[in-house]
Amino acid sequence: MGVTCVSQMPVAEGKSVQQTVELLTRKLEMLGAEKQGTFCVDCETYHTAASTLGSQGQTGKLMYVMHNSEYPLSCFALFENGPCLIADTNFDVLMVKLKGFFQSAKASKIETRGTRYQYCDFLVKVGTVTMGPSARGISVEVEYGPCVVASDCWSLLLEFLQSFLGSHTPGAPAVFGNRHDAVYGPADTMVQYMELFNKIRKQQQAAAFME
Amino acid sequence: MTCAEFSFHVPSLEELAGGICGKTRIAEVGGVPYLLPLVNQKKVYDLNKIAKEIKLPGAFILGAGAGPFQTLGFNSEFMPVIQTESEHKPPVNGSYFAHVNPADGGCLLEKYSEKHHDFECALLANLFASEGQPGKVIEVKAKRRTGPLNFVTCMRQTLEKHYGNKPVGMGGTFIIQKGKVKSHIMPAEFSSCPLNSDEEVNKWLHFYEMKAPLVCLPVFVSRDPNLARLAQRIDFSQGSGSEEEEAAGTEGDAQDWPGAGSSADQDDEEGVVKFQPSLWPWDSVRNNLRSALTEMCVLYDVLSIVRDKKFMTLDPVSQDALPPKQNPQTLQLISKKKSLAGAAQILLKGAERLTKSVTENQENKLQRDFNSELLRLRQHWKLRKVGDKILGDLSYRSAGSLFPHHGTFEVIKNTDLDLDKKIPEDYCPLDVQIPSDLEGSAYIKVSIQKQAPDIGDLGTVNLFKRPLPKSKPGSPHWQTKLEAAQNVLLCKEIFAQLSREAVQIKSQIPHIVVKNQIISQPFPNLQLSISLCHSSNDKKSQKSTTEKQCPEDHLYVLEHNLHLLIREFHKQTLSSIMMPHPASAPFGHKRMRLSGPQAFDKNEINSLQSSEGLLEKIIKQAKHIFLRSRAAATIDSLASRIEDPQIQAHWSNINDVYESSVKVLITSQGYEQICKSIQLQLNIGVEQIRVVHRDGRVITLSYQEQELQDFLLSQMSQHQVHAVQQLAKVMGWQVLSFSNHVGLGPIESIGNASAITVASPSGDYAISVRNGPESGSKIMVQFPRNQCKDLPKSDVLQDNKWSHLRGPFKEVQWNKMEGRNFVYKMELLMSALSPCLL
Repeated sequence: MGVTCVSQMPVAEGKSVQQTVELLTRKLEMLGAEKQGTFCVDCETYHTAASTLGSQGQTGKLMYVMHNSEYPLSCFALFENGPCLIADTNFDVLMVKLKGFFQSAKASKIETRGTRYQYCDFLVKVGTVTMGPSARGISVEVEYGPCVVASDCWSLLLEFLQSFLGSHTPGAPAVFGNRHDAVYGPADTMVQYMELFNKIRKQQQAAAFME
Repeated sequence: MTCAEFSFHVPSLEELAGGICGKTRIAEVGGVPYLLPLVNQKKVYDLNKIAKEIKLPGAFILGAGAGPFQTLGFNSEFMPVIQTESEHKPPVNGSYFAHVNPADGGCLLEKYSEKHHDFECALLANLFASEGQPGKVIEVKAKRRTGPLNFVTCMRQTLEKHYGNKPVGMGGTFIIQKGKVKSHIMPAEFSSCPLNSDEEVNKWLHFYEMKAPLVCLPVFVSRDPNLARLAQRIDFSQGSGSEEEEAAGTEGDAQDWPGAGSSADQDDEEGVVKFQPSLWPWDSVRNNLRSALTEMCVLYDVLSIVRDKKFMTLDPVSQDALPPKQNPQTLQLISKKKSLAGAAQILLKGAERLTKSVTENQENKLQRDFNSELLRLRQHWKLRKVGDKILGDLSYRSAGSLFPHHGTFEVIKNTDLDLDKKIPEDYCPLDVQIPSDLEGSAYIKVSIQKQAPDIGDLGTVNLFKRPLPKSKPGSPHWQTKLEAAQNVLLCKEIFAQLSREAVQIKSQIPHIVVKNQIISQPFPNLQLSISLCHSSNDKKSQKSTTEKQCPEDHLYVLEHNLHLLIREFHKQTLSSIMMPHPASAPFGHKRMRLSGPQAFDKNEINSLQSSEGLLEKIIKQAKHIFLRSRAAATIDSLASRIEDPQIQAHWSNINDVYESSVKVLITSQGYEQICKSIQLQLNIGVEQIRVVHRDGRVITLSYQEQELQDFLLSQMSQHQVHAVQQLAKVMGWQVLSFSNHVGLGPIESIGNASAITVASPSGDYAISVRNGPESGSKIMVQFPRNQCKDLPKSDVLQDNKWSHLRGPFKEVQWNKMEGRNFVYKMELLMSALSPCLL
């Protein structure tokens, strides 16, 4: 249980997503990181049902139901900028019952899958973000285990990120600033993933618009 | 004789009345009982009212009495001279009162009207009342005293003699013209303690001698008119009451002339008029007393005769003759007797019951009742009734055991008792029948053996009988029986669990389960055997066991820990089953249920799911125990084998089941303060030994004992060189070179040799020490060139100055050096080579 930074790695020019991921993982293996199986984070979008909306035509809030293989027994439900609920995996069953209030957006499932690497106290997960059948981007998650206060170890994380991301090192995640000196929790990681997915989704929409 | 004028010394008297005649009467008011023995302060009188009471309003009253304390505020003698109130005349008070002067204690006579204006008096007064008219009076002249009686008493006796039974009153005044008179005055304070005798009264009173002339106002009666009548009323048939009646008469009005006015007068009378029987008022009293005396004498004679029992005996008279007066007493006696008898009966009954119960208890002790035994059994064991049988449960199921053995026993009544024979002492009417497979005694044996025995021997080795545990004194037979059975059941459960795990767990060297033995190899050439030893009481097993008496190689700690572990396992299952949990949550204990909502990560969940079995735990413990004992043995053998650098081990007393630690010190005897460079902390775990060096280095050694031994040997050899270094510092020698691991010279099989070179303070000599764990120590001394005689003359170094250079090394024959150990020898060598600085 440590501090996690989730960032997006842009696809290298002239290379496919798959190739970029391979490049990264090779770098990590060169550093001496140990491969420790795979990981998966998925996200499903729900919007509030039309029947529950007011007549003024207000748009319903979007709710994201996420799972993370790092927390195999938990299920996360988040609103954008809103609260984050951590529940049992039984929550999925509950969502089926709540069809009247929350409706699953069609083809909204987005997930990232990849390999999990352990490098001393750092846990690195490089994943391919996929929406439906196609790969849309690369996610890089780095967790520093021994610390739980984000501000205390951000520089350490940054230095480590620089060592293998090079010029693509991200800035400090927004969640770090939310609660200064507070204990970092799993919900913060999930918020970062949600933001990452939303960003990739928007990029996709923009790309589609461009076309 | 006509009394026209009296020259009274009462100035107002003349003005008040012309005489003391006309409707004369006397009034006895109150009495001495109001004054003595204690004063009755309620008794106050108004003379005007008295005048009306005696049917003579406006009377002229003379007399004597007690002063009105209610107005004066103190007690005094009173001499009333009053013209009382009438219709046409206002009352006039010419009274006097005499009291004790508070200032000097003398007698003080004062006129009442000068101080107060009321007409009151108190307690008692003898009054003479008249209309105050001039008239005929009697003049009495007395020249001197002729006897003991006073003037007034003489006058009274004279009147009495003359008038006899007819009472005659007399009042007036007389004057003492000459001589002295002893007279009393009452003190100002009433007596606070009762005055019961004349003596006390005389003490209380103040007596004065008074000089003539004195005017006196006497009022008296010849005889109490009530006395004779009252004396006759004394009832001699009754014991009491006469006095009361007499007292009742004291309060009277003037007409009745109550008689108790002056008891002193009565006494006087009695004393004087004793021999005038016809007139005497006490005649009847005397007659009665006399007859009573006669009767008493007769009674006394009769009683004395009866007591002798010669001439007369007393026989009880029939019931009817009982005087009615005694009846209530006898009735009372009878009723008391009855109630006492009733109470006694109840007490006796209770006592009887108590003795009965005591004897019953004693009998019960000898002859235990089946039902009471059953009751006691139920206090310790679960029982239920199935059909006409009573079944009990001795399994650990309710404590969380999952062992499928039903563990039922049956309670039976022990009836096979020969009534003719004497009951044996350990006879118990209740018996329990336990399943045959739980009979006998059992225990789990854990042992570690170096060599693997033949497979053929397996399983039978440990079958030897242990004597049955003796029953505790006081606990019944069935208790020990059931406890033994329960123990067998638990041992079986442990063994079943262990063997199941032994089969399931995959280890590098598979665990072997043969018959009643589980064999595993924690370390190569070492086997841990856990066996269930169950000896039933039948002869067959006894036979086989008597032959083989195994050496006692039990690991009791592990056997105990096995029991603890199975209990812990029970508890775990119990808690996971019993704990209430939400219906939607996954099964498992609380932390497991919370892992979802609290987002536990993989590592945390893994730590929750640590399902290390009994066997794994016990093997780990066995490994640790083995490793610990082997480390101890290694250190001990080194310590006993090598004397020079001493090795000391300090074991910690309190250990974890999987880890213990020891501190190892390597020192030289006599130089402990100088040479303490080597201090090692050995943490003995399950698989390996971690050595923490004093300088913070951590070395991990495997379970092989050789590793530890080699390590310690190399440390000891290093110690010697370190000791030389320390010694050089103390002796003032210079360290020229020092190396823990020398790359030159013969290669050591264990570790590396270490070396040091030190130079003497003057620089003339140098000592070089090389010490290897295997090769031992080699000491060389370098001499200055000029001291080496056998050195061949060099052609190059011709000059004399070169002779100050150091020459070649020469080895010291170390074993021929004196000294008890290495460091001591070194010290001797150094001091020999350094010049004396004196």
